Amino acid sequence: MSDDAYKVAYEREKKARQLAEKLLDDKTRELYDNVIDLEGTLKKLKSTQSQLIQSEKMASLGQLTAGVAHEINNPISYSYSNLNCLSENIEDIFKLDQLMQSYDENTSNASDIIIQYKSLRKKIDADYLIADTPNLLSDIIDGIERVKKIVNNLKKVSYKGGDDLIPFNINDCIKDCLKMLANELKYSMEIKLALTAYDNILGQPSELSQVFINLIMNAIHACESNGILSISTKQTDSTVLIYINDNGRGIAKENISKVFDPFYTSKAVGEGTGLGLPVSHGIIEKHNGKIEVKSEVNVGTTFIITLPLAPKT
Amino acid sequence: MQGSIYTTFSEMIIEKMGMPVWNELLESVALESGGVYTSGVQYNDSEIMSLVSALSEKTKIDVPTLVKTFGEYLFIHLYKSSPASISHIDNLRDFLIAIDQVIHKEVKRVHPKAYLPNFEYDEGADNELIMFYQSKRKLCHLSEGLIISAAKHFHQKITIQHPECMHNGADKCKLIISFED
Repeated sequence: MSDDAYKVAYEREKKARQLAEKLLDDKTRELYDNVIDLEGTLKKLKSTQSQLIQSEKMASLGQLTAGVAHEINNPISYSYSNLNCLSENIEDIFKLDQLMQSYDENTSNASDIIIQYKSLRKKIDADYLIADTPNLLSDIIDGIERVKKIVNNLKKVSYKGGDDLIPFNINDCIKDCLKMLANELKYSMEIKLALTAYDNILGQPSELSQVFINLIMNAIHACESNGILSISTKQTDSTVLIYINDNGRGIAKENISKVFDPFYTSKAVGEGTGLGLPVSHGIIEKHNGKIEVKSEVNVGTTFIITLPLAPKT
Repeated sequence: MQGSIYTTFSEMIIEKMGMPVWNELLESVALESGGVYTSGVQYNDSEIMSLVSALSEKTKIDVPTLVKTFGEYLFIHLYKSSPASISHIDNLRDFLIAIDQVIHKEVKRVHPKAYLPNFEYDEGADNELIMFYQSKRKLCHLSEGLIISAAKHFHQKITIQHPECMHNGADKCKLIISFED
């Protein structure tokens, strides 16, 4: 083969290579643009997911509002009534003070003013007022403390925290949720607790509260009367197991696989978002745990949550 | 350094000096790649430096002049392979100003791992554009060649002054491009 033939062959190969390189560049550009698009979509998806979790949480809290309002209303009512009493009592006590202020050493007779004072004191029943005031104040403080606790609990479960996981005791978290749901539970469910897990787990208390509130509310809805809610925790070498059991109507076999599907709900339209269990599932997965369900129609349902223990320092 | 720089360098040598010279160059330098270059791969910067040094020795042309000449050749290849999005630029000044924000962004789309020089701009006197070049590779002479070739592409007569240079200890190279009518 002559040198020219090699040259021609080289030029041909060069053109083919350049064509292949151009093709590669074009494909890479396309790929890059797709990656940028996908990154944007992923960002949007994460933001939507976070909004969805918060919306679901707010929906759960919405169901609690009536109960919470009742819980708050009671202490507020008697605190208000006590304050009215106290206000009237103080007015009477002030009258005694006004009387004494009207005494003029130069013109008034001391014995007269003492007689008037005693008479007014009897009239307003000052002994009773003095004895009653500490009780009234103590009840007001107690009422306000109760409201403060309820609001604190509400804040704990509705708080939208960051992504940081903190060590905390799961039993305390469950007890806080039960306090929040006290009004929903007190007339409808008997509660049996056996909380024996002792070590901390690593997580977000507000998110796990959301899961427990969901499961407990589901249990309440599943039981018509004589409901029994049993919650137990136990610990293995590396995990905490949480069992939330009810003796309600149960879930049919064919529906068990759907309970964690978004928008699946057995409740009437408008009563359930169909997001409670999928969101709970997402939260437990985010905590590197798992959530399982066992159920038998007309016997009851048990949710079993497994969460890893916090590493020991 | 991006493989496309190496493939273009080999093309230039083969085109201007013939295949035997390219083979000779490859044989004279111990290259990690063995001289097998493809555009999408990153190769050690030292390979191009060794090849240019060997070429300089062979041709007795100093390294800056060779690098500048290669810059002129390289522009034609780079411009041809650039995406359509820069084809609307119709004059040298706009093209040079677009290097940092537009052209380098396009390069990153194709070669996200590519290390690119940094350019800053200053207006200077009338009909002047001052470009400050900064790169760990100190390939300011390549930039000069690229600018000269770009000027030819846009039919713009220019002169380039290079009063401050990283090779002489400056932080960045100052390139004063004077546009002639």
